[in-house]
Amino acid sequence: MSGMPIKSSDASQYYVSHEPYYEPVGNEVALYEAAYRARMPVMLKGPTGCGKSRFVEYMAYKLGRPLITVACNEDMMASDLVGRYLLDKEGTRWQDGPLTIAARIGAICYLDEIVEARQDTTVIIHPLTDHRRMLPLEKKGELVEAHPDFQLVISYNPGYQSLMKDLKQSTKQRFGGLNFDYPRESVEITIVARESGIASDMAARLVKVAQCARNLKGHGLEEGVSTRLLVYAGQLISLGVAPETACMMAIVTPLTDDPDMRESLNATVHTIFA
Amino acid sequence: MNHSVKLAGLKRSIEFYLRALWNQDFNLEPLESSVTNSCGHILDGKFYMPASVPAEHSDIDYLYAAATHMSAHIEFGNEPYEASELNLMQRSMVNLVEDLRVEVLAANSYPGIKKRWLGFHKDIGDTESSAINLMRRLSRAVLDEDYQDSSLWVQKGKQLFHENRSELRQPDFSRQLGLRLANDLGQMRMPLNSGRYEQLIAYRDDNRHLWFEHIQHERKDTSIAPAEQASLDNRQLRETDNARRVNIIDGDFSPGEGMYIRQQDAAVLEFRNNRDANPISSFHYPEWDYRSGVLKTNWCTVNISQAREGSFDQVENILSTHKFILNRLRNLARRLQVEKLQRVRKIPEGDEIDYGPMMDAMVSVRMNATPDARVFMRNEYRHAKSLAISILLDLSESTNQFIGGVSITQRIRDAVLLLGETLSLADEQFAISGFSSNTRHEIHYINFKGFSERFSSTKDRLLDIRGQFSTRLGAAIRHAAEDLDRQLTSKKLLLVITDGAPSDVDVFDSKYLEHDSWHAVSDLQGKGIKPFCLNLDARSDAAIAHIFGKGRYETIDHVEKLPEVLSRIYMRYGRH
Repeated sequence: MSGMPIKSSDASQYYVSHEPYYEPVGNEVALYEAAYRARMPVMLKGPTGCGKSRFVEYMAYKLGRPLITVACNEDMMASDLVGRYLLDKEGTRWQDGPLTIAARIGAICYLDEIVEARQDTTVIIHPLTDHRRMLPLEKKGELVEAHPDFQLVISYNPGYQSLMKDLKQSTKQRFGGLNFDYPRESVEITIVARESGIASDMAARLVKVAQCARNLKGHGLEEGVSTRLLVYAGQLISLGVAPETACMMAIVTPLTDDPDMRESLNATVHTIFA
Repeated sequence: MNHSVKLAGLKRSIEFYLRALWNQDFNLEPLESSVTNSCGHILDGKFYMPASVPAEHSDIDYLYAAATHMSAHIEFGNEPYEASELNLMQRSMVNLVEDLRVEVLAANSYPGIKKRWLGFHKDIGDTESSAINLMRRLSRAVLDEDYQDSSLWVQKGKQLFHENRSELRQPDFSRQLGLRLANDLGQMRMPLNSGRYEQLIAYRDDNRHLWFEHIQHERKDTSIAPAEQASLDNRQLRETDNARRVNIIDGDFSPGEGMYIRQQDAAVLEFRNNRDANPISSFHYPEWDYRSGVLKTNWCTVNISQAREGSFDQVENILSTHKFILNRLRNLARRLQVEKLQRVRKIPEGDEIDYGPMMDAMVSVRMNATPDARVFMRNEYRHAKSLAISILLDLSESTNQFIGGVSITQRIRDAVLLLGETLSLADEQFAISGFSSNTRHEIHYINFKGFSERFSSTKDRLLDIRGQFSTRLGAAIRHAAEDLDRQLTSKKLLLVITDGAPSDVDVFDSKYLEHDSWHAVSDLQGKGIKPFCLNLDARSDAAIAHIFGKGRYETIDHVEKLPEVLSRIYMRYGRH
C-alpha cells in the first residue's frame, strides 16, 4: 500500500464547499445553532429521507465547520470509528478513525443511522459526549482531548424497527433531540419543485401522492414516502418521463414488494394524475 | 363466474387504496351470491359489494368505482334522513343529489376519481324522456362539465348544483335540492314507473344508510340471528351437564367463587357438554402449602383433553378484523427471521477474514510474538430451533367477563391467534394449551396445539376457547413445564396469559394458591425455563407481580398492544 495522496487529518477536505439547499421547517436552525454554541451533542430523529442529513450539511456550512459523516452499519466495530493500526513496509502505523479525526480537527461528526451499529460499538462515544469531551485510544495508549469546536451529531429513525434496534438509555440521554418529519405541504412542494426543476403544480401532485401513501404507513407500508423519493420522481418528470411512469419507478416500486399494495399505490397515482 | 372470488383478489388492494385516499380504514365484504339485487350497500361501516358485475364493465373498474363511491359516502356523509314523510320520487331525488354531492366533494380532493365514475355514465342517450332517463342525465351533467344536455330540467339541476357549490357540506343540502328537483319533475308529469327505488348508475350503492328507517330495519334483521348474539348481550343461563351448578351471569357480576343466581327475562338456555368427560390422560402433581412449608405430593390431578375443532372460515374472519395488527406482526416475524442470521467473529476457520483480529495477528508476527490464529468470521444461522415456547391460557369462569365491551375469552382468543400466526411465520417451536380447575381433583388441561403440530392445521381449535370454573395456576404451570422440559432446545419460554390471581373453590385462603404458583414458577428456573406472564386485567397486578417477579410480567389492556409486548418478550428471550 502506498501513502495516501491526501492526509486524512487535512481539515480542508471536510468543509462543505457549496451552500446546500435547505428549507427550514420550523425553528430547527436557531435551535441547532444554540446547541452548537453549547457544544451539546445533538440527536436528529425522523423518518428516512425527510432531510436530516441535508440539515446537518447545511448547518456545517452555515457554521463554517468541517463535517465528517459516518454511515453506521451492523458490522461496524469500535475501531472503525476510533482508528486502528495498519501495516506498511516500515512496520505498523496508526490510522485515526473518522471520530478521532473529527475530535482532533474540531469537525462536526455525524453518525448517520446510529441504531444500525451494535450497542457495544456506540458506547465508545460516551466519553466524548459528556463533560469529559475526550476519546481514549485504548490500543494506541493515547487520550485525545476533543478540539473546542468538535461536536457530535447522530441521526436515528424511530420507526417500528426501533423495537428491534434501539439505543441504550445511557446513550440516548447524552443528546439534545430535534424531531424531524416530512415537511408540511407548502414547504414540501417548494422543495420538490426546487430540487427537481418541475413546475409547482406538478410538484403539488407529487406531494399529494406522498400524502396518500403516508396514510398507509403502519397499515401495510413500513415507511411513508420520503421527500427524497418525490425529488427523484420530479427529476424523472423534468427529463420527460410521463408522470405516472415516473411515480411508479421512483415511488411505488422502491416502497413496497407487496403486489396488492403496489396495485393500490398505482391506483392512487392514477387517481391523482388521471 | 364466481364474483366474490374476484373481490377476494382485489379486496386488499382496494382497502389500501381507500385508506390512502381518506386516511381511515374500510372493510369490504362480498354479498352472498344468492342476492340477485346488483346494488351494493353500506351497513355498520362495512361495504357490501354486489355479487355480479354488469357485463359491460370490467371487474376492476367496477369494484374500484363502487368502493370509492361508498367511501365518499362515509367521508362526506351526514346524519341519516327521515324517510317517512317523503314519497318515492322525493326519496329517489334526495338519493341522487346525495350521491352527486359526495362525488363532487370527493372529486374536489381527487379530480382523477371522477374519470373512473364517468366511465359508467357514457351510454345515456338524451332522446328518451322518462324520469329515470332524466335523472341519469342529470347525474352525468353534474359530474361531466363538458356534457351539454337538451333538457331544461337537467340544465337547471346542473346550474343549481354549481351555483350552490359552497353549500355542499351543509347537512340539509341533499334534502333541499332533492325536494326542489323532485317537485319540478312532478310538475312535468313524469312519474317513476317502476314504483320502487331503482339505482340509476351501476356502481352506486342503494343508499339504504341514508335513511333512518332502513338502518333500524337492518339492525333488527341482524339481531334476530344466532344464539351467540345473546351471549353478546351479556345475558345467559348456563347449565353444566353434571348439574352441579347453575350460573346466571350478568354484566355487573363481580368475580368470585360460588353460585350467583339472578332472575333473568328472556334468557337463552345453553346446555354445555363437559369436554372433560373422557380425558386422554391424567397426571398428578404436587402443591405447595406455604403455611406449613410442605410440598404435598400427588395433590392435584390434571386431566388432559383435546380442544374441539372449529371452522377455519371463522378463524380467517377473526384474523381479518385484526388485519393491520397482523401485518405489523408479520413484518416483525420476517425481521426476526433475519435476526437469526448472526455474524460469528474471531474464529479459527471461516468464510471471510475478520479485519481487526487479522491486524492484531500481523502485528504480533512482526513483533515476533505468537499470533492469535482466530482471524476469520462467518455468517451463521442461529440454531434453527433454539427456542421453544409454551403458551398457557387461563380459561377460568372469570374470563367470561366483559371489559370494554369485549369478553376476556375473546381477547385471549384473538391475541393467541395473532401470536400463533406470528410464531409460525417466524418458524418458532411452540405449543398452546389452556386450563381451568374445579377443585384439586379436577384440573382441566386442554391442548390446542402440541409442539409437533402445525399451527395452520390446528388454529381452528382456538375457537373452542371458553371460560369455566377456577384458576389453579400452579398445577397447570407444572404440567406445562413437564412438556416444555422434553423439548430439545437451548431456550425455553413459558408464556402464561391470565386475567387474574389464582383461585379455586376448595381453597379459602386467597394467598394459598398465589404462593403455590410462585413455588411452581420458582421451580421452572431449575429446568432452565423462563416464565413470562401477560396479564389482561390490571386489577390483579399485585398477585401476578408476586408470582412471576418484577420484569417477568406485562399488563396489556388492549390487543393492539400485543405486537409491542410480544417483540419485547422476544428481544429478551428469543435472541442472544
